[in-house]
Amino acid sequence: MKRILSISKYLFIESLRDKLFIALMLISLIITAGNFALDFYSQGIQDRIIFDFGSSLATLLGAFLVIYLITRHITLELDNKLSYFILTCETSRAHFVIGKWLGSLIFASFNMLIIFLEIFLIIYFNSKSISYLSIIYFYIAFLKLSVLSAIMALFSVSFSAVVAPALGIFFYFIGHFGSYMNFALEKSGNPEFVIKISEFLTAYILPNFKYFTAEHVTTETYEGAAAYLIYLTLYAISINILLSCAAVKIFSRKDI
Amino acid sequence: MKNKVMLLLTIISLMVFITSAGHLKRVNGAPRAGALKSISANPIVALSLVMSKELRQVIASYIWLRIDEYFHSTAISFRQNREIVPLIKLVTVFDPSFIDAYLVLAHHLVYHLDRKDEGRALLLEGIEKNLNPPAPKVSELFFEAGWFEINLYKNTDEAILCLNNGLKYLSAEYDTDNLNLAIKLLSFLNKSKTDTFEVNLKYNELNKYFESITNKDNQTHAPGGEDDDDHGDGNSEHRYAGQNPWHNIYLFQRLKRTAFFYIITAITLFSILIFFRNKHII
Repeated sequence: MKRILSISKYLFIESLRDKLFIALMLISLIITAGNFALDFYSQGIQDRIIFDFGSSLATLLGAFLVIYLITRHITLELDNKLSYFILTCETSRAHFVIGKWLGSLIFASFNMLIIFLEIFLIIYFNSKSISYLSIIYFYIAFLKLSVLSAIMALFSVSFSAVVAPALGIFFYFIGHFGSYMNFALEKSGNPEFVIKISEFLTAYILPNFKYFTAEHVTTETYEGAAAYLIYLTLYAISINILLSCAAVKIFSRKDI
Repeated sequence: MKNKVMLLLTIISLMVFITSAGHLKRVNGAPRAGALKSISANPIVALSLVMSKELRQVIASYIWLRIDEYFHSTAISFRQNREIVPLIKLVTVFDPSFIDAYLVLAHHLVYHLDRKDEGRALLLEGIEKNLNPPAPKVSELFFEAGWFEINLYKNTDEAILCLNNGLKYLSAEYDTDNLNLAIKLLSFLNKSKTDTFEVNLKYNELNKYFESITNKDNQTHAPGGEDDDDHGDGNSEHRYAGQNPWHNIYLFQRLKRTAFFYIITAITLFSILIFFRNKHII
């Protein structure tokens, strides 16, 4: 555990020193803060627009960071032999993969947390109301990023530095539009079994990012919202464990 | 031993994954399954139904920003502005919980385009879509529907029913000025029933009556909430029409607030950077 934490810690610090990420974070903060000028709309609309655009920006930034960081710190380090410094000491390959996964997730979540904190403060200063939705949505976005990180970790140990991010982005999109694919198949007159297979694939084989929504948390009762969040957490944890195990297994057998 | 632990972990995770995925599939698929089967070939409606709520809300918010611009920055009067109708309708398609879109569109249809039945039907649609569970601002739809009933159809019973429902679903988010007016309208209508006098006032007379009440109560409006009486004379141009949106009295105030927030953000960021620098992290 100590080794995993130290790998993730150094990934975090190294990323923090990267000027590109600092610039990205600053731009995101400035864009989000710009929403504070939107006071010509009514109170509810203004809060809503700030939250909508701010949370989309934060999630997109988080997804970009996770894809970039994991590709850079796993695939590229393996390619240019930098990872040998870690792997030749007592650290196992499993520690390496999980440490990199955890470090990327923590750094992306740290960036996202700052933007969500800004959204929270803008809404608070603007309408003197506490935006509980920001807190809940940050947690949901964190779970979503953890799944994306696990997918990227699996691809990074299996494919090259070009194919891995491309596949990651592809699955991220497919994960969001799975239900649209089912709908399109149904409307274009495909046989029943094709639709059933597609529904099964999008629900049980491909990670479905559409589940990571605050819709059911805001529209259902407390019990319903709590049940949804618990199932969502279990879903994300189980996918993370499955994909991490697969990544570790593949990486252990890989000839580097 | 290590492999056995990993295998056990994988099996447990697989079982948890199947259970949770099944539950999430059921919860996410249930609300839209019926709607998906019944929809027409309209691609926008179909697309909106399969998107996640966050994505639909972002699209609706973006369209709303454009609508606001078209409404207040063009040189045509409200009565001529028919192009805005499908655009606002699109907002309600993407996000049925966007109460303000229903209110603005219904008001525009009734008072500027003389399509009162469509306006009333739209409000009822909004109420239907936001009642289960009740949205925080659903009362606004009920109050507007009550106002339409008495103002357009002279239907006192229906108006009282709508206004009472509005009070029933009232939340803290509701605007106090509008609530005050709604309560006064309700008491006026209740009185009209018990004292057996007909509500047969025209819009302007009724409006004068309300103005007299609000003046008596010495009500003050919040900044920016000025009287929005733009539909009295349909042919006259709206006072903001053709106006540069930057030429308004709140510009300085708005820029001051934004500058203040940027300064706070910059100070916070520099503090974080200095903290990391002192810790020799960067």
